[in-house]
Amino acid sequence: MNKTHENGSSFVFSGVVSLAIAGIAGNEARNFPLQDLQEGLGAAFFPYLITGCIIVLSLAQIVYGFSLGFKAKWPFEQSPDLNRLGLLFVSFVGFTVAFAHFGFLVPAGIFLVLAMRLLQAPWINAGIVGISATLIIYGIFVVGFAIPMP
Amino acid sequence: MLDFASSLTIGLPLIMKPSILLLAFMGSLIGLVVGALPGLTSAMAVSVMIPLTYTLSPEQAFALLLPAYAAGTFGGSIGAILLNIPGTGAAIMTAFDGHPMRLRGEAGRAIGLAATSSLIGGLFSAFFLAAAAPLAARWAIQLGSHEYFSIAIFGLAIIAYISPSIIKGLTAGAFGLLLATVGNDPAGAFPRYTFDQPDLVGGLTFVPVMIGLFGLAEVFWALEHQIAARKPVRQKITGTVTSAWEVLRNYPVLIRSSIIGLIIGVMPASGPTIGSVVSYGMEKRIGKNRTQMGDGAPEGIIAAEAANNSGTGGALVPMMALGIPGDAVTAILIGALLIHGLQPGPALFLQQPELVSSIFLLFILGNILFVAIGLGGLKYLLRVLETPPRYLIPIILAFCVVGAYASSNSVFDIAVLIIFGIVGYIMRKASIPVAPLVLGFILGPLIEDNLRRALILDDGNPLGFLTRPLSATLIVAIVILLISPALSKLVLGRTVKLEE
Repeated sequence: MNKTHENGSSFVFSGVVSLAIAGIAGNEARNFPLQDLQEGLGAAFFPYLITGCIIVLSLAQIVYGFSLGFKAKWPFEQSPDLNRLGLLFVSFVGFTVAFAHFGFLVPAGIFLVLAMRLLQAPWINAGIVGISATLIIYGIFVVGFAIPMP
Repeated sequence: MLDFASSLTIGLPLIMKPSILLLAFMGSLIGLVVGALPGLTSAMAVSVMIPLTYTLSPEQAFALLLPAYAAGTFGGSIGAILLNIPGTGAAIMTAFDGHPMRLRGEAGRAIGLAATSSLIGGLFSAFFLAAAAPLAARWAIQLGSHEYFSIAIFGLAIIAYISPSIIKGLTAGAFGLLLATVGNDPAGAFPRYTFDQPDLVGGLTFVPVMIGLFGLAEVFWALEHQIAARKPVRQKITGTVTSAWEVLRNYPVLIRSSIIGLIIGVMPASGPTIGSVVSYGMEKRIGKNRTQMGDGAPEGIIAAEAANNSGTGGALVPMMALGIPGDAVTAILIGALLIHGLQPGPALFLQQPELVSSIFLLFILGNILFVAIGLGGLKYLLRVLETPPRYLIPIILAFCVVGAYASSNSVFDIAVLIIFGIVGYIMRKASIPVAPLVLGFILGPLIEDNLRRALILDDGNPLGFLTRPLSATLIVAIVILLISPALSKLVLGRTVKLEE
């Protein structure tokens, strides 16, 4: 289990972020109409109610976090492999962009080979497995289940 | 309306087809493999497979998904026994006795105990599902807005209660409700939180949100925790079939655990994991062999596995009868029904009894298949478990992208996938549970709609919820549930002071 849940900093972080999001959502909800009961209460009713609940819960988290002992430091465990994870994520995003513009086969083939290589698979294995997997996924979705790709 | 006999018969013509049996086999296989792989869950298996069901009929879709649900729950026990890494939350308790048994060289016996217990627990709950769901649906016809609202909020409260932190669970649930408001307001068609994006007018698409939260986020989480770096399993697996007799000899444990798992699974938002924890705890407290529990006692595996698989059928009861999920996976299954234009609840039983019956039958079939595949293909399953994640992870990522796109052939959904992948990952880092957010997202429209109606009926008086017996009971239960941890801390603190 992640130890951060016992850490006051985790609650304060979570509370502050929730408060910020609820504040933005509540502010946006001001543009929605609020109506009386007979007209159905309006589009703003439920968002106001929920953002209000989130604000209360966020404040409670912050107070609770301080009561547990808040330390002004990054509350999460640092990943030892952050660079590699980051590169993988960036290549994943690149794949999604390429997928949207150029279809599935080529971008997926390149992504799978590169991603496997990033995760330290040998080039030959990454090539064979990556390209095979590309064709199999394509076969399953397009040929097997008739789901079109871009 | 269905009765027990017709629930198990009228759906037979729909499922006695080669395509259905093939899909059920595929679903079981995928669920088993994904459930067994550390870091991957049955929720991921089901959410990633949903896009495959778009062109299928509803019974074909459930032929793929339901066996995956049942198989994934059992599959987690294989990783728990062999690697001491439960593949699913429901298998955590299995690891306590399963892994010590494996270390003694009895991995085959442990897997056989798990498989048989899962099969019997699963079948027990499947027959209960067929008997109870139609009754629950008949009862649900009498429910009004107040009751539906209270039951849904009760479900959210339970899932928050069982989270590592109640307050984070409640916050996540509330955010799920907020996410459900994106799109046109159901009453007046006013666009909410669309930010002038036409793709958001219909609301956030369910599938990319689920795949992002359960697929993408879990993959990056597993990578970060280097669940990749594990030793391969090098042990001959024997004795899986003969251990079936051992389960039957321990029938008191089996019966007790199946009942516990079922009762807890039926409660909205509880699910198989809690059932296995409670069952294991009960066995440790009152079981004949309780002193050996945690040290490779067969009763530990039987208690955990019978409960977690009987919980799966239990979780399907509120899902089918009320449209309220029993756990995160059934929340995803509700999404699958909605994709096919079907609304779970009493109306489904009235309008499509054959489909409902086919769902019960497919669940029974799934429970049988996963044991057959799991034990028959154990040798190959082990090879899959040994497949380095550096090959599996990128393939899963590619699957996630295609699955998200296929939901509505929209590139926008890929952006939703990435955003919710990031959200899910951050939530895991911050120990904020994801399941309440999913439940809130699924239940949001139901909660909003019924709250509005109830308030209109009561002229805006919120105390109207306390004038209906079921609604009042549930609201009081929610309050007690949420304040009980604080109360017990207070009472315990005072007791300690008195003793001092």
